[in-house]
Amino acid sequence: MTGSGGNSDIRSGDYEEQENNFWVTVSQITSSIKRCLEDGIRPLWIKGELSNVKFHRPSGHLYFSMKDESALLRCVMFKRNVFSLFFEPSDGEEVIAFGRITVYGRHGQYQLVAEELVPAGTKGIAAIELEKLKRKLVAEGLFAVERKKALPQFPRVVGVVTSSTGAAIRDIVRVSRRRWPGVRILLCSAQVQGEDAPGALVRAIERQNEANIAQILIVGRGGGAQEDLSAFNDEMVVRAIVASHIPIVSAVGHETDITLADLAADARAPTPSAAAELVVPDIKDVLAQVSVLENRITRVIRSRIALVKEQLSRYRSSHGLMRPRFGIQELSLRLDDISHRLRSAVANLCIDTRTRLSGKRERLESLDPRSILKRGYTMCTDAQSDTLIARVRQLEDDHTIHVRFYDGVRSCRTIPEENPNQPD
Amino acid sequence: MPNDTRGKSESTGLTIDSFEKQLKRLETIVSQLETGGVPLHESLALFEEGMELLKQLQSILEMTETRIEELIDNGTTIPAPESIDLND
Repeated sequence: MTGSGGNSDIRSGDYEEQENNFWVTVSQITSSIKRCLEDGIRPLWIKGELSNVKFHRPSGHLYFSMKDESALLRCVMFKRNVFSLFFEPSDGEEVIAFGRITVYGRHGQYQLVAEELVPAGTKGIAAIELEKLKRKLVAEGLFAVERKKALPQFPRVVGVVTSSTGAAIRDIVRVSRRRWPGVRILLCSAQVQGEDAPGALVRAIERQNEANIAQILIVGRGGGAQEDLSAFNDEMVVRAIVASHIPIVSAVGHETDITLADLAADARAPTPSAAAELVVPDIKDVLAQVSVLENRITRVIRSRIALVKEQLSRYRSSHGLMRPRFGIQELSLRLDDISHRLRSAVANLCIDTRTRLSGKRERLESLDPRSILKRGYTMCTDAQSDTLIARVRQLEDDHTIHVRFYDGVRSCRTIPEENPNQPD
Repeated sequence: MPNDTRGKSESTGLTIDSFEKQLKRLETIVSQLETGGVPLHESLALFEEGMELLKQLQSILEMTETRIEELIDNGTTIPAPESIDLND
C-alpha cells in the first residue's frame, strides 16, 4: 500500500543530490518510512488487549501496548489526552483506541499515538457515546476556560449538592469546619446514582441558584473508579453546571475519574474533601495574614510618628521658630524698659508738680494779706458789706468798720472830723 | 423556625461577605502608609480606619459556629440531620 510510493519518493524526492550514490542514509530512509506511514494511514479506531500499561508520572504521558493473537502495537497517549481519560486502563483489558500511526526514528519504531482510549464491549460503546457527547459539548464551547467563573475567596455560605446519606457531605463538613469554624454549609440533597440521579442533580443545582444563598457550590459524590459516575456525564447535568450563576467546584470520585461534570465545572477537585479545602480558606493562613498587616500598620505609624517628632524637635530649634521667640523676649524687655521709664516719668512728674506747687504756694502765701497783718498792718472792712476799705474817703462818719489785725478783729466807729484829711 | 435561622445567618453572613473587601481595604491602607507621601493627618485617619478594620476582621475570625443546613423548597432552609453534622 505504501511501498511503491516510498520507492518513488526515494528516486524522485529529496534525494536527488545523492544521485551519484547507490545508497541512502538511515535518516533518509527513516524519514521516508515516516512519511509513508504517517501520510498513508489515516487516524483510525483500533481494537486490542492492553499490556505493559505504564503511566510516566514526570511527563504525564501514558505508555502501553495493544495486542491480539498474532501482533503487538506500541502505543503512547500524551498528557493532554491522558487528562481526559475517564477510566483507569489496566493490563489485560480489551480496549478500543483512536489515534494515528507515527514513526519514532530514533528507536526505529512505529507506534500508535492514541488520542482516545475506551474499554471495548458495551462499556466501550457507552464510552464512545460519551466521547461523542464530549466532542459536541467541546464544540459548543461549554468547557472553554473563558466560561470559568472565579471562586470567591471567602465564601460565607458553601452550598453542597450531593447525597445527604453519603460520605461526601460528612467529609465536606469535617474539612470545612476544621479550616474555617464560622462557615455555613447549605446542603441540597440529590441522588448521585441511578436512573433518577441526573434529574435530581439538575434540580438541586437549580434550587441552589434560585435560593441564591451560597456563594459557591460543591457538586459531587465520594467513591472510586468502581462507582457509577454516569450521572456526572449526563448532558443535562453538564448543562445545569454551565448554566449555574453560582461558581461550581466538582468533586466526583477519585483522581483518575474525570467526568463531563468535572470539565464543565469552574474548578475540579478529585474528592469532596479536596473540594472543601479548595473552597474554604484556612483560618490559620488568614489569621497570619491579618496579624502581618497589624504588625505592618503599627510599625509604619510608629515610625511615622517618630519621624514627625524628630521633625518637630528640629523645627523647635530652628531659626524660623526661634525668631518670634526672640521678638517676644525683646518686646518684653522693651516693655519692662518702657514701664520703668513710664514709672519714673510719672514719679518725676509728681515731684515736679510738687515743686511747682510749693513755689506757687510761696507766691500765694506772699500774696496772702494775712502775712502783711503779721507784720503789724491792719485791714479794714465795712461792717455791713464786708468790703475792703482801702481809702479814707470810703469812710463815712460814725460808721462801724471791722479792723482786722493779725490776731483778731475789732469793730470800731469813725469819729466825725471838722477837717477831714485831704490827700495832698 | 426556618425563618429565624435564616435571619440570623444573614446578619452574620453580611460580615463574612464583606471580609474580602475589608481585608483588601486594610491591605491598601497599609501599603499606602508604607509608600509614604500621605500627609500626617491623613496618615492618622488611615491608621484609625485600619485599626477599626483589624478589629472587625478579628471578630469575624473569632466566629466559631458552623451551621449545617439543608435547602428544601422555595429557598427554605432547615437544620441538617444530626448524622451529617459530626464533630471531629
